Amino acid sequence: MALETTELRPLGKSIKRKEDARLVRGQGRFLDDIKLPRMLYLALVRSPYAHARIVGIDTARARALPGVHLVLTGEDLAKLNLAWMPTLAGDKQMVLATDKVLFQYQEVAAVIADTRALAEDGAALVEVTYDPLPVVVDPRRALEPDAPVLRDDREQRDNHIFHWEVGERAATDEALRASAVVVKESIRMPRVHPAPVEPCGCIADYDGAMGKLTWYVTSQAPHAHRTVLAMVAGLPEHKIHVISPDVGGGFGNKVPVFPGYVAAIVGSISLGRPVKWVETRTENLTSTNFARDYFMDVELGADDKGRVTALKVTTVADHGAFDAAADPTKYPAGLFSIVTGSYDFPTAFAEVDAAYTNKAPGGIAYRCSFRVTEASFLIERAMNSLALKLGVDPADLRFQNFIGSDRFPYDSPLGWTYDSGNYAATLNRALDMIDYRALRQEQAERRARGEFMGIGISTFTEIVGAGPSQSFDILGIKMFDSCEIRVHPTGKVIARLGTRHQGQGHETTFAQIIAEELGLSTEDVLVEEGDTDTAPYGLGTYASRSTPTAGGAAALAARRVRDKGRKIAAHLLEVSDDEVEWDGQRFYAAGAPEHAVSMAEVSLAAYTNLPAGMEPGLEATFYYDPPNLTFPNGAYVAVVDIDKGTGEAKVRRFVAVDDCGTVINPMVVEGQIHGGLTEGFAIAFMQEIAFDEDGNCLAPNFTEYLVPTAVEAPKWETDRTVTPSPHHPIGAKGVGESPNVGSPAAFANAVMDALSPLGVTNLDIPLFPWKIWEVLRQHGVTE
Amino acid sequence: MHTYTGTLALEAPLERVYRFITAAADVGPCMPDVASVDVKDDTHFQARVRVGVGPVRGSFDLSAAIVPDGEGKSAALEVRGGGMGSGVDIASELQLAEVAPGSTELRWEARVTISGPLAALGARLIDGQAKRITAQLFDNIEARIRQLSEGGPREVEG
Repeated sequence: MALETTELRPLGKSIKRKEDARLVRGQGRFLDDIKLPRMLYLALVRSPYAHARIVGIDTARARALPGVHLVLTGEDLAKLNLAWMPTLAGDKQMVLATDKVLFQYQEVAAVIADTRALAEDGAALVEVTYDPLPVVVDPRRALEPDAPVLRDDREQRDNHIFHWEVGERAATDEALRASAVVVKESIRMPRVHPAPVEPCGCIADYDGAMGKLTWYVTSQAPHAHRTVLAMVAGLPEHKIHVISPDVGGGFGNKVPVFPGYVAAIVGSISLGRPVKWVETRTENLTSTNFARDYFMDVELGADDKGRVTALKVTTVADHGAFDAAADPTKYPAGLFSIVTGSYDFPTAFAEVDAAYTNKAPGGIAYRCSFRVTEASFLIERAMNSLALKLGVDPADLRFQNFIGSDRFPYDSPLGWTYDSGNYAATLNRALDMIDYRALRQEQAERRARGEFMGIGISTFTEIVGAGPSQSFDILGIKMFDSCEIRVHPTGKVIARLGTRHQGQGHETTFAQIIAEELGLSTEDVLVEEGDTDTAPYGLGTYASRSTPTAGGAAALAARRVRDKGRKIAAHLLEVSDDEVEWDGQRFYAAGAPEHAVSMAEVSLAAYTNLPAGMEPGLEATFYYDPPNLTFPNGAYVAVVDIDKGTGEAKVRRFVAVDDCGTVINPMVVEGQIHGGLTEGFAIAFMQEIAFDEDGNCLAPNFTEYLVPTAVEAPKWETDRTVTPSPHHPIGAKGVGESPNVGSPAAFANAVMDALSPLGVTNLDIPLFPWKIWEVLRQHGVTE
Repeated sequence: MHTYTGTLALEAPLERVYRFITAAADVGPCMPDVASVDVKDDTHFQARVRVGVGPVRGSFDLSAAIVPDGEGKSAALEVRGGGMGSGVDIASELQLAEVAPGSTELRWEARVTISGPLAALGARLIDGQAKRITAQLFDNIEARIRQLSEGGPREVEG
């Protein structure tokens, strides 16, 4: 049977995703598809209270239930020194609560039984007596001097976690004082949740005879998880085998270690049997990591001609009960300092104070690179307010203040060196696609008729690809990534990487990079990820880092293979090494293109016909430490019509022009953008993990936390500009998160633009119809 | 937290009403949708009640404590418990006043806190349901006192 082949030189082509052949047939192997012999199931007992003292835990009835094998409490774990675990942010988090609970749905006990139903039944029989305590759900209240202190375990007797600042405070204040115009807004980015289709879970399978733990887990970062587990549980790292099978979406939710993981591992070691824990949708939304939850006050100054002069941002961040944010060590507020965005600010200052509250811990980067969405939303909303205050067109204001394409590499006032960009070209393309000037004319006509039509622009700059080892680490581990390539005698390749895709298409796109470098087709390259016993060490897939880091590693590992191949080719061609040329598909003798050998021929020779003294085989590994981050950017334009009867903002059109540098696979990029825009649409209009004053989570399921389907999602119109990253091996920047980062502001700006005749400059997202309708009602313009 | 208030006009002497609302054996059976009552002592009882809010159906195990003021004019009723992974706390104040010989006014205020999935699942229903259940407790107390005054049967509405 002939092997299926794709065309050579695959980089930049819309090759169908290799992984889809199994995924669309329902033949993926996700965590809950795995059933091991003698496997038991774990269910967690969770607190109904957001803040309460635990008076007692009675497990007798649960233990007596036939089929229940083990009931674990915090006291049991304390004997193993596992009642608490470290978080990625350097804080610690209760695994199972002992003295008190700090958020609703906190893990209190674990029940392990023959079936999942029995485990749930057993959990219902655990009787916990609570003594409720005062609840704090607002981080601004948490930082007041008389607020109840939530964390008894800390010596510090308040709820303050950290203060972080960047930039020139005094110079910024002075520049603002001297500015002709200053706009001030309080911008809220509410708590949201990534809500991947597949929730989190694991199977812990401890082999007592071998002393080895095999841990199947829904992980975006298998190696990091293995290291954390070795540190938490004291198990030898080489005897922990982490397998991350097919993962049904992550978006940051599957980066941290959760209490259910630790409980399952303790259960498996205790019982000598595999233990599976898979959370429910409610458990996922209420207890595993949230995103955002920033309260931001901004002051943006400009001169009388509209040139921006200064930016000052003061932020209170809600981190929940434990600081479990997944940020690099050096950046407790992530990369929020990208907040000056695409604009040439002479000076700027930003500060963040983080607080504990009685809410679930987290602060992960939901499809954004470490607080970049918050920053992007803030600056794009503030620029909109400045345009309104100046009475100028928001597109013109942006053109006026963009960092010029001739300014790159550009040093921002908050410390970043942007690699490349052409913001004016990107915005021009978006405006052309949507016929912006005609829309403004139409808007004027509709306004004259009393209609509310809005046009919103967002011209964001992202910062991704963490990261350079001099400044980026997680728990001290530098944020490089890796690729190992093995070329077999027939010219077929297995490539293993330290990343772990969850739908991004790595099996195709990384194959395209390697095939491009080696003159092969993507069908010749099998990409494997997610197995720590086989893949080289890497920090995983999140924060749009895979292509900037592992993608670079793949290209450079392939070039190492090619370098050895060149020597073998010289041997086969009977010329010296420096007389061998590479045309992208073949090695040939300089000046004699017809005298050539393919990579397949070279591969066979690597095992059968080597130059004298050469080590056999054709393999290479590269650990890529990027010299800088990458800075994808884009220009988005949304058009909305507001229904005066219901308050609904109907998205009529949405144009997204992205610049992610070199494009590996346009179809995959397109898919990434469609998904991210749909998430951004949801964040802008329908999603919030809200709480009542008692700390009850009001969005614990998909009837309250809404996820748009194709029915609700607007039609996306997309295009690209290409400004390669000058320092990345193939010029790629990463794109997965740009649409989520850039689009919420475009939607919100469109609604504010529509409501601007009423004097409205800011409404908190999500922009529920009732919220807009209330504004219309207050101004007497409802129908 | 939800706060509910109400006033009952009872055709019974203040002393009798006071004795009733401070006796666990009398108040316990007045719990709405009660399945069982276990009177622990004069002022403490435990009850299992059926609960249904929206799609959530199940039972709550409640512990109740009555705190008389000792002066025959007021009492506190504190109820705490839960079930189905949810919790409920009810802190009630009951104030009595004689409006005429043999007639007593009972003013009540209940602060109800519901925690857990029940609070969220029934977020749009919980206020009405909590108000109904709380009011039912006092309606049952009123009915029971009226029955006793009339020498009627001991049962009250569930």
